[in-house]
Amino acid sequence: MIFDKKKDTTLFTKFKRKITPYFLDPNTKSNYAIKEGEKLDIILSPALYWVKKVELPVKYLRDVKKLLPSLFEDILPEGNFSYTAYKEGDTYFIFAYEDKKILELLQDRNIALSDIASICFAQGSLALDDDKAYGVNEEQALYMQDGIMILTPKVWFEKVEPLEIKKLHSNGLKIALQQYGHIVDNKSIYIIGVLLVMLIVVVGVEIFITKAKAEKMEAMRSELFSKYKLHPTMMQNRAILSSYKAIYEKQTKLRTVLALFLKMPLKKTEKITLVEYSNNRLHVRISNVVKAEEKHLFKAFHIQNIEYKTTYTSSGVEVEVMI
Amino acid sequence: MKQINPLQIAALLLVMLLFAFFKLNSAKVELKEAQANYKESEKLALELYGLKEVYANKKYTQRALERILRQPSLKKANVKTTKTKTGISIKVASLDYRGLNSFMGKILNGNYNIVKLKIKRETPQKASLAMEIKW
Repeated sequence: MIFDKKKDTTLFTKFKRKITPYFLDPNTKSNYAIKEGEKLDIILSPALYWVKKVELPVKYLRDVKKLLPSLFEDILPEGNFSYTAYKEGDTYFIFAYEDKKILELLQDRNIALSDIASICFAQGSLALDDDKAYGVNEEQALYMQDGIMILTPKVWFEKVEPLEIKKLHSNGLKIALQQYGHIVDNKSIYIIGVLLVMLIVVVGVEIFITKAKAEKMEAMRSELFSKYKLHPTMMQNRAILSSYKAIYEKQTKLRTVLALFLKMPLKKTEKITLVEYSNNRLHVRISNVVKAEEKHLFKAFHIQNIEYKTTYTSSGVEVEVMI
Repeated sequence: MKQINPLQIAALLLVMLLFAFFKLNSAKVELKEAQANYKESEKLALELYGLKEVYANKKYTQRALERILRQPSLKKANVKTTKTKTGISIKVASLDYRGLNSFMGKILNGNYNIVKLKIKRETPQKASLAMEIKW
């Protein structure tokens, strides 16, 4: 396959933006117009941060970072500060800066965050000669003193060089500004975030367990259906159950009514001569019974609220009970 | 360099949490329904099983009736039984009161689905009996 080389290069460079170093100083009154396809490496003026050179009996940088707020405690004014540090030999360079202040200055200079490639401190990023002063604005100059880059009045020096930033020092410490640090501090964000995530996980696990329980219930129900050979739908099963319940109720009533007849206080001359049950109707014939005795004979029927029908003949009484 | 507002992340997490709670609530409703369905099915199954065992167990009914009819008081009575697919009919032309008492006592105390019954006094000592039991 043959590629059009020129076309490919154009495509590649279209997304590759030019990076320009920019010295951000609150006392320099200059608005930089960003060109199309350009990004800035922001170098923070010492006016925008506090720096200390310290030697600590601590081996690792991560241990130093925990101590940073207390190391600056006595010199910082009221505000919401971020801290960082880097190590150079046995010495730690520790920094404190106010994100909000830097962000406001960037906004003031019409520099959008999307136009920024990186942000670093002048300390460590700029390679300046120790014995020279470099002017950064009309009144101040950058000067290296005991390894610390400081801002000093220009009038202190006889000769001040112009600050020309061509290349940044590779070991310059890059920082990420906390745009919302003033709303909530990092620790609170992490705590809230972790708590919310933990809650989500707990609820997620609870959902999983609940769903598993519901599935188990369904499986148990299916087992029940196969164990008791139930019909596939509950409607069918309910209909069958109600038909069996009807049989049970009828059979119970039949036995109750028959028992009432058998317990009837009959005289020696009075005999049950026929008991017939069919089509849910019980027909009993008792000989030699007169109507006057009905109340006495059927007392138990009245107590149990069982309806009956009597027909008196010359030979006795015909009793009919619907079961 | 553009950063996401932590409040937006918190809001997103909150929305996710609310969604998770909503899902949990539906899962709990689902579980309650499944539990209620299971309980209802279990109750129905046990009731149906019990009633079927009593009224639709052909083998059990047949064996129980055979046991009753083997009684000495009924042996002499020439009991005629006719079995069909749905049940059994029992006929005795002449039965003394002891035999009748014993037979009816066992039938009425047992769980049989009696669909037809006729006991007629033939003489002061004897009665005829016709019965149909369904299974």
